[in-house]
Amino acid sequence: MKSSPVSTGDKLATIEEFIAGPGTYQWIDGYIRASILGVLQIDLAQRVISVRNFRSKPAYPKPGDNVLGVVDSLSDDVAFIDIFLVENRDVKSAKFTGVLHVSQVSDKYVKSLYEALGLGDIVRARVLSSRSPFQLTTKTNQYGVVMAFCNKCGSIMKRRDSETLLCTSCGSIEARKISLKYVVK
Amino acid sequence: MSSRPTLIGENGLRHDHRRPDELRPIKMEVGVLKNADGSALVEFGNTKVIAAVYGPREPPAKYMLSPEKAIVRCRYHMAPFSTIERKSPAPSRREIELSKVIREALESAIFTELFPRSAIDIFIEVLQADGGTRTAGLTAASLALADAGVPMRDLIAAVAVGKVDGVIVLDIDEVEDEYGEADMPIGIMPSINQVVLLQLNGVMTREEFDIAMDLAMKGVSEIYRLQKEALSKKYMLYTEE
Amino acid sequence: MSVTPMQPPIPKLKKEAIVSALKKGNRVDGRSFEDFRSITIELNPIPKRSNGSALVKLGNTSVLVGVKIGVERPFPDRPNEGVLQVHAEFVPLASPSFEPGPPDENAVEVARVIDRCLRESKSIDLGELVIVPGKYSWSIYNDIYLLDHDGNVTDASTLASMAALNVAKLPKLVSVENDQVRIDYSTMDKPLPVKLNVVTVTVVKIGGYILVDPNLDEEILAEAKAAIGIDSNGRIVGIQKSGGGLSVSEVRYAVDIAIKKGRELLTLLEKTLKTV
Repeated sequence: MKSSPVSTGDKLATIEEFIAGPGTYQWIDGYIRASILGVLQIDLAQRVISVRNFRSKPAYPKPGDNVLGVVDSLSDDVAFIDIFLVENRDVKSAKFTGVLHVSQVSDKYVKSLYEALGLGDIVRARVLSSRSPFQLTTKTNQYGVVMAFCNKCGSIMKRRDSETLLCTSCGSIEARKISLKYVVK
Repeated sequence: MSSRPTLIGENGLRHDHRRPDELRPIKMEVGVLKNADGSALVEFGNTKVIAAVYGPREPPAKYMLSPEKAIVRCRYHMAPFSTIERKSPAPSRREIELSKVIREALESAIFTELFPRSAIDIFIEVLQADGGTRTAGLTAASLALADAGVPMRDLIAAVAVGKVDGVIVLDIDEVEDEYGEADMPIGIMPSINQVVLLQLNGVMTREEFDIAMDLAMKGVSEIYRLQKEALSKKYMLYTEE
Repeated sequence: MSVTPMQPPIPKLKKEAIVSALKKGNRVDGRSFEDFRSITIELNPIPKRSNGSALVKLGNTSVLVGVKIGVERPFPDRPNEGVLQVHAEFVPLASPSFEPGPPDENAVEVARVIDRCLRESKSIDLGELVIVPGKYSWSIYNDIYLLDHDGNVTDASTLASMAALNVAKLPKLVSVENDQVRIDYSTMDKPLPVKLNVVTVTVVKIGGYILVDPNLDEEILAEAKAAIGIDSNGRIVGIQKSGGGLSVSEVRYAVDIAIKKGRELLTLLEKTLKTV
């Protein structure tokens, strides 16, 4: 692997030499050029040339990204999540629509999303697809609800055990798919 | 308005003592705003323009989004205090037209197909106008897009050439625009030789047009060099890690 | 704010056919790359109320231009000149994609391009339109009305504007006394001081080919478009590139075609004007 800084439009190689990877493009003049500012990366084994961004921009999610979002609408089988943050990006705000299907909520069987999420909950999820609306998953214990509000009184809820939350003001107990990163312990 | 000033003196110099093929002093700075995903400030002499980029992101009104590519939304706007007489902040017909031509120029550089169902928002504010505001704005917007990490075919470098007192000159200012015979703003992606913005307001013969194009290419390559310099000033710091 | 327009699906389906025809050297409607569609110019279709008018049909594109002339105070920075204003309305009856409302960016662009071509070429001698310097001058309103939209509105509108301005007559100036001007608007008097004619030639680039006078499908599919203004002295009097990029050599080629085709349009216009 060789690395040196390149700028948008810079000639990197001819199309006979390499395959154009991320951050590059082929132009009609027969050259592979940089499409972003970044560090040149040459994979001699795969013959792929690519450019890695100096900073993690833009915020547009990619498969494998971790995101935070608010549960915007909910039904038995599908929830819409308003993504407001993509982790590890140098961008302060994001705004994208995510979709969470009941089959992607947990490793265990979940009958209805109402057993795992509540409207207005803040969810940490992993992105599965590369275009909006983004397919999400909350499988594994890193993902799931990180902050929830009581369905009865709207107060913030406290983690009770790995599967239930306790309302801090009315004492109601609710089931959620809870992330290890739940904020109120 | 006062009588027409002499635009080309007996010594062959312009009213501000520039040679016909000389640019004004140019300043560029990238990443000048905290909130924006990308931003840039560009000065051509007294012309001062700031540009900011947000996105790709989902706008509140999703009905306008395209399932195959990002849409580009662009506003070119002049601050009320940027002109000799106060300019009403409401969009003028001129601003509507320039927003369109600048959007189309930027759109031809951006790989919009990488961000379906999203919008890339570009806001250009002219802070002080002394001729060549659309080209300074386009130059700044292209830097702001690069700063926002938006993949593009190339940076766009833009400059206005003109004809004053029968002489083809580079980077005209407001006086030369007002009293000259022609104003030709050009935006180019220099590495891949694509003209993305071209307007001619004025009269030229076919021969003069060729000379003007050649002069513009010369000016653009210098502006392109300055753009790369401004970007490396901000980004080459990161290469050491 | 200018926003990427929505692309209607039908031209996208036709793209394949259009580009493969171009590869064989012809266009789907049978024209060659440098052919205009059939042009008809009807002079003075609005004889009673407008000072001058013209209806131009360019293939299925139909543009009506009406000229209205009044008296106004000249602009303070131009006390010795008359007033010329060009406006364009893309009325909803012209296309399923038009909505009522103030002119959108496309209408504004067409109007401003034509305005600049007329103004910069000094096609109309505005200096002859002063009645009392700094106080009264003739004001020329050139209103472009798009009736049917099948592409290349700019060229049809310039042609219609030029024809209408050529046949337009000033109302009768009855008297100028003590800085008071009396006009008889019901009597047409002298023609406008049209010094030279201007046309625009629009070219588009599709699949790498440069074509003249795009129809609506070609215009929607175009990678780049440029309208180039040419006057009767063969000079370039305005350029407006829109859409995507053109190489420098393509720009020069487009200008060459425009000069050549512009001459043909001007001949047609002048021939039509002689019939009056």
